[in-house]
Amino acid sequence: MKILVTGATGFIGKRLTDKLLSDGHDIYILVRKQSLEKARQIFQDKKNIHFIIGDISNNDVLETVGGVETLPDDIESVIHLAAIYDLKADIATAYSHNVVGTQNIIYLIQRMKNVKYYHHISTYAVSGLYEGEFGEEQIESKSEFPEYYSRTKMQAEHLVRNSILKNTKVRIYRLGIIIGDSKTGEMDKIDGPYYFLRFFSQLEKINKNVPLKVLPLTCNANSTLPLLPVDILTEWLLEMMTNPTEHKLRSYHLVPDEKILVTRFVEKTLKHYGINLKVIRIPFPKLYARVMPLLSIPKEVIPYMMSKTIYSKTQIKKDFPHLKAPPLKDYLPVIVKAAREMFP
Amino acid sequence: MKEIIMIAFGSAKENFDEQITLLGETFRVKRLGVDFHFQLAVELIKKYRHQCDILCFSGFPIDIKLDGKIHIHEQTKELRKAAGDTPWTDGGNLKFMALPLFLKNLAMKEPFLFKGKSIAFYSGIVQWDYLSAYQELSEDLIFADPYSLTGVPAVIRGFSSFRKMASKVSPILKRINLEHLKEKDFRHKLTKAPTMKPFFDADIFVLNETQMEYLKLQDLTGKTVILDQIDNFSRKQLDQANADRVYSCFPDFVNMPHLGFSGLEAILLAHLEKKKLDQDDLLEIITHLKIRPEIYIPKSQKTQTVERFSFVVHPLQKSQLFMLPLIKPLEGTPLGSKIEDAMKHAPGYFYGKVTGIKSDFNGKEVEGDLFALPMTPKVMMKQKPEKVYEALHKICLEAHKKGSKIIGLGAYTKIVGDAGVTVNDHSPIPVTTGNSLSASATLWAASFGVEKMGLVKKEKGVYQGTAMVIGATGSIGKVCARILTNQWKRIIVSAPRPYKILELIAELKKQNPNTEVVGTSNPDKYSDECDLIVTSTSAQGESVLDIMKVKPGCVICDVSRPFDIGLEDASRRPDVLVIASGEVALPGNVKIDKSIGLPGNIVYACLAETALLALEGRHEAFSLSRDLSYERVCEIDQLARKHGVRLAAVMGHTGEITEEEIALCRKHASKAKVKKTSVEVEPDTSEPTPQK
Repeated sequence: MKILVTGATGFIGKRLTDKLLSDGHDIYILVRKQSLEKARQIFQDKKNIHFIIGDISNNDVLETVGGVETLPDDIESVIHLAAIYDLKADIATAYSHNVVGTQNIIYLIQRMKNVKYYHHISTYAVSGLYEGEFGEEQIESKSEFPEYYSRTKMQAEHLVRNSILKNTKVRIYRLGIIIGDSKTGEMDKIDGPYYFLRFFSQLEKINKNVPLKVLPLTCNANSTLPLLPVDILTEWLLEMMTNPTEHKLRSYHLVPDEKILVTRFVEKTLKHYGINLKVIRIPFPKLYARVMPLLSIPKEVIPYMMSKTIYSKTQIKKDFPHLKAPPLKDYLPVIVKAAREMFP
Repeated sequence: MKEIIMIAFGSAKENFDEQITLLGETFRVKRLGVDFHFQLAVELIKKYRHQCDILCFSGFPIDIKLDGKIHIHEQTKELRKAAGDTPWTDGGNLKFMALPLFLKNLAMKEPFLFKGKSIAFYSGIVQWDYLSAYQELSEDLIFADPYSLTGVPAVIRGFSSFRKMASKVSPILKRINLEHLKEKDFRHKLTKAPTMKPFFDADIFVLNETQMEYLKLQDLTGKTVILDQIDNFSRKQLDQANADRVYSCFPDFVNMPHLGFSGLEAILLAHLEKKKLDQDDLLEIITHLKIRPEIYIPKSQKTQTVERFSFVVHPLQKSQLFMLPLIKPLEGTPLGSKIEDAMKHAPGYFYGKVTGIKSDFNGKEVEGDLFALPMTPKVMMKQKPEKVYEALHKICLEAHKKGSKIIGLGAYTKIVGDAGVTVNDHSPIPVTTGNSLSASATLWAASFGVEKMGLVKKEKGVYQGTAMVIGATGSIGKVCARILTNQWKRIIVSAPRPYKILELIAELKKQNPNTEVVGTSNPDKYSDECDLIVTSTSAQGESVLDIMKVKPGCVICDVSRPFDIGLEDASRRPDVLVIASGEVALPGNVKIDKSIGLPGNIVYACLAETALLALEGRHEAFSLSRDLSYERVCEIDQLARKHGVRLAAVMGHTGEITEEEIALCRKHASKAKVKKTSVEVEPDTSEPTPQK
């Protein structure tokens, strides 16, 4: 099958693309001119890979003369992974990639001839600061959004849901917090929990000199972290993309069943660092927001530690009951070990 | 393909990216909504200005032209600067020309839409350029700008006051950050302040789609709404709000309301490959594209609301005045005798209700409010018509306030002066005299009389006898003649002027060649041949017919007011049935809580016409002046049959004619036929009841 993939050189993209290539699919990846070299390096020895030069944030996505005509007629699936995933992204960058980028991809699909499935990669953060159980098909544009990343991803999803795609079925995957490989711990970027892991590496040194008793942390008692190792995610995505249901539009929360409380995650992680600290919750997120940059942790993560959203898994459990994430205790040592190597 | 990028200040949710074919060319139009984030708008313009042919701005402040100066918002200037060399538009030129044109067309098509109505603006500043167009349509403009700009719950009434405010605030306004100017929430409890009441009481609301998100939907229930353009979101909201009618000023030919005026103007610019549209371009485009406003009637999601109509009645005799509780004690006192005259100064008042009217056809329900004018016919006819008009005008205003969509004039109120024309000219709701159904019902009564007398055979729906219309060239007479031509084998038309008769004969023959039509200026010549005589003259009580010559068993239908056939004349011939009118019963379980001078649930045909128009949703001055139209009479006749209005009473000079009385009349007639001599006078047994 011929598949068009955007964001194929990213953290998730390259793993997923790799798997698709090994499964024998013909993969057309959309890369920016400046990323072409990087892309060639990643996928060098693969025969069934094709590079298409383009930029999703440009009004005319494909730089090649002829636009959509340059794509083969028999591309059956489009996987749209490309996005700005950065909690600190400025509004124009976030908007032109996440919103305009999605608008452009839809426009492209509407003009392609045989696209049967459009796989849209979204995020659990589209819920915004929603309180209570958040449904897989639910979308609330009026919620509060802590930063532009989640807001623009929500806007993009809105457009996907409202767009008219006649013969194309739409799948929306709302990913949880993706962390390193559960078997190797491999991670190639710093975001989310890794800000903390980096801080813990520093704390480890401080703690040796000045033993601490408690770690104040601003979070809610029930706030959870929907962590998912990248290799598990890739497995899930592959399974869901290859065995889709008949629904015209279907959306899934790709999060673990296990409720990983923020406090518990921090305490357990610290243990692996050999630091024995008790986490105490403090209710001053504003004060904390001032302290965190000193620890090289962006303040944008605070709302995620205060989250009161519970992500429903009704649809994914019904359609793919066999997809199970390993428990945190199984992969946390590997993750911490790799992190300690990352931040010596 | 030419590409257009629209930067909208509103929500990104409504973004689109599509190809649109218009004027034989295909364009790609992409909307980018910035969710009220101004800096994002500037950045996007900078990023995309070289990737498109035209930029268009939607939802940003328009230029305010005031006292020879043009006030441009500082941030609007910034946007235009960011566009650099790329041509841009905000749709202002197109809208400035098209919107007043729409409004004029609308006002012409539906004269009652604006007349005497108050128009409310959530933000007059946003609609600034078009206010003069609204000002021409209504004097009562109400602006909520103090609230929408500053959050102070107050309104400004009248265009000139608003203008004063605008000239004061415009220089300040153009410096205020747009993000702070974001629409104020009209669901806030502050809007409940009494100072805001005139705004929410208005009849018409002028809105744009952004404002749709910031208002309480119940505030639009039953109101007329005028929108710049109407998209699917607004449609759903208006359905929920149960608004009465919605007019979209966006041309419905494009069928792409989401484009907005800015998108459409951008397409025109791209098509003409121009930087700016001039007046001639616009004129040509507007003429060429035949721009019309779109009318949307929301699907009411709740149960259908009961539509209202009003009807004016008045006492026909002095004694009825004393039915008013305040005046009752005066009955019999010396003051009582003066009361009739004194009441001419009293205003009209709410009298009662007609409830339970339900169409046989579609089950739609309507309810009527009865208003009474405390003037007897004597007083009313002596008064200057202007005085009566004024009193009726006040009733119209009150009726409108109570939610009526149409008002009918009863009894003498439709005879005064120009018969409703002036009252209608000033009323906020259409006025009808109800004369069309009155005429129709009277002819129903005539047919009923003829049937009951049983002296004329009917073949294939046509009476095999002779009917005469006296005064046949007058407005009512002509309509009667035309209707009877379809029902009778032979028709005699009588009028004083022969040339008019010749014209009418030709007309009637054309209408129904099978009918024999005879003309005369002397009705007495043929009166002994006629089974039905309809008299409709303006003889003012002068004798038009020698009743002694009339054929025994004849039915005389006297539609003239004052009557052509005097009471005395009528009583000289008990073998002749003299009918004055036909009154009707409305469909449904009708209840009238106050007496209107008719027995039971019988109502005047003119009241029934008003109710029928309300049932049909036909809010128009259906019958006005003393002229009748044949088409209208036929139309209302059909509507009456459709909804189940039926003849309930045959009225004579002194009240209802019972079936026994008709039977008695028939007996006299058969006796007279045998004797062919004069007959005894049978005393009239029916109780005199107040007449219409």
